Amino acid sequence: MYAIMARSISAAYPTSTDLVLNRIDLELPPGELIALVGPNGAGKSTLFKIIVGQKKALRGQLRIFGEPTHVQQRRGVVAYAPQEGFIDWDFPIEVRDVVLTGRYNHLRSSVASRLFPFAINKSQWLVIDKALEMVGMKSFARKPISALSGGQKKRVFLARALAQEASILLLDEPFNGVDKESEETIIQILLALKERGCTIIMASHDLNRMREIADRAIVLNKRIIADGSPEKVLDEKIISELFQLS
Amino acid sequence: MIMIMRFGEALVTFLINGLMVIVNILPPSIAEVFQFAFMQRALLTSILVGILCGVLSCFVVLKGWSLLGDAVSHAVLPGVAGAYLLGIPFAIGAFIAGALSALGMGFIERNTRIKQDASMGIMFTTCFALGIVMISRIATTTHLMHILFGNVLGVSMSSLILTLAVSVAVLGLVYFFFREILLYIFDPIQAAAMGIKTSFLHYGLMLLITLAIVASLETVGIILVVAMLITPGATAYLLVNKLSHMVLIGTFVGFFSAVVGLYLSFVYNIVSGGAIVLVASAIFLLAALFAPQQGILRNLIFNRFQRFEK
Ligand SMILES: Nc1ncnc2c1ncn2[C@@H]1O[C@H](COP(=O)(O)OP(=O)(O)OP(=O)(O)O)[C@@H](O)[C@H]1O
Ligand SMILES: [Mg+2]
Repeated sequence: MYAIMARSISAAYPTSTDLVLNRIDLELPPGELIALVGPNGAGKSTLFKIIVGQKKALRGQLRIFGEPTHVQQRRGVVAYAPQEGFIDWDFPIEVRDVVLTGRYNHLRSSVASRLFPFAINKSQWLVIDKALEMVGMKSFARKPISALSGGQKKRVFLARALAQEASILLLDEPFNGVDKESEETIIQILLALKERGCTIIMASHDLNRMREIADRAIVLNKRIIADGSPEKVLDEKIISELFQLS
Repeated sequence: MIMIMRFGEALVTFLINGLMVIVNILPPSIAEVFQFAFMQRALLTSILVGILCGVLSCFVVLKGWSLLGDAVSHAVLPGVAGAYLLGIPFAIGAFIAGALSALGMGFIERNTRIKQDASMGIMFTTCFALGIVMISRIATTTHLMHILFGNVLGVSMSSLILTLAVSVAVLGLVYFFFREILLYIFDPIQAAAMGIKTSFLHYGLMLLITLAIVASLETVGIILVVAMLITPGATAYLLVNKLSHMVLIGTFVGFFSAVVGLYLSFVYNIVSGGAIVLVASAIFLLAALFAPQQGILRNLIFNRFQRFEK
């Protein structure tokens, strides 16, 4: 069964009638690391929003492990780390509470947690601490996010995606502003997750990096322009030609 | 219905008696003001409204809905006038008009490219003009003044019960759904990934704000209620880095300004809505000047020092 299967998905924003995504077909088996590349405005983030279920597709069908998104949403199967611009960085929230938002699906099962929304079980904090430790941000747990640097923020959101224990990870430009050393650590974590059957889709502009680590590359520019092995697809020359064609 | 009113009345009496125990501890010169029954009702109403607006103001500030609050509160006016014409309780008319405009604006915000400020500006001035025209035909200027600026000293038992019911409902919902509201405002995409119904929350929050506006009509009036839906939250925003703390501080600012404002309005014989809002503004000003991390004063001193170091 496919982790994600899309049939002819199209999408637009209310501000314009132009299609942002045009007839996207995807068949992604579990346990792969997929690079999603394309120029600014290609619709990468939009595709993520649709997979997560935050945005409705205009047309088309989406199945996550064979089920429609709203069924999978409740189980928190899809984890998502946003691109910087999507978050209000002055929001009054501490780092560990950001990571906690990845644990909501594990919290909500009990009635007690509804009656006492501020009482968080100790075992939850342990998972959260561990996730923060993996990305090297444990000592920042009680800091407000507004006090972090760009790369540190990225790592916190990655920790959240890890804490969610999801089977599908959508990472929107996860290495932007992250230093080389942390990037290395994060890649090791992601590869380990992949070994355990996690599907990871990464939107990125770093073609060289993607060529090294991805199993598959999808080039997007409103339509799917190419889809295949990274060595073939992510050739700078081919890509620039493809973009000119589209 | 009668049962509910009875129960409400009993609850209100109970709360007032509880309040009076606290009030009577205060110095006699202050306590004496609150010996009149109408002052006791005004006190309870103001406290409820202060807390209610204080809590919601945090969400309004973070979501950037200040203008929306302003628009809804103005749009309520024709609802009040319509209710007056039909002879139904004016809170119902106010709620229907407010909710319709809130939902309308929420829909516009989510679905069109019209600049928000323009669409809201047109919408709420139109509603407001309509309301004023209607009221000028049917009621006296005193009535109009009371709706526009509040008349907390004249609060009736039934509207106090309504305020109490709204407060309990709104505060309860905010408490139980605190986590969801937080995530929706902070990161709506993650909220969706967690299976939270975001459009439900979006419109739900707007309805809660509308309810708070309706409940505040008699205390601060249509024109000034938006101040109570912004200032406490904005003050708290300057002081802390955690949403739950922000809500607590917002609540306190709302509560404090309502009580002190009411007292001042009685002692100096000034409009209560104006007094309440001015107290809130004064607290905001203090916070803006002296906040530990983001205060203007701290920044000034800090910059001075840095210049010396160079
Ligand atoms: N909220 C929005 N309202 C209206 N249009 C939008 C919105 N978000 C994105 N768009 C438009 O949709 C198109 C695709 O945007 P999207 O964010 O998906 O691109 P992207 O591939 O993620 O780009 P980037 O590499 O810059 O992150 C763009 O043309 C953009 O202008
Ligand atoms: Mg993007």
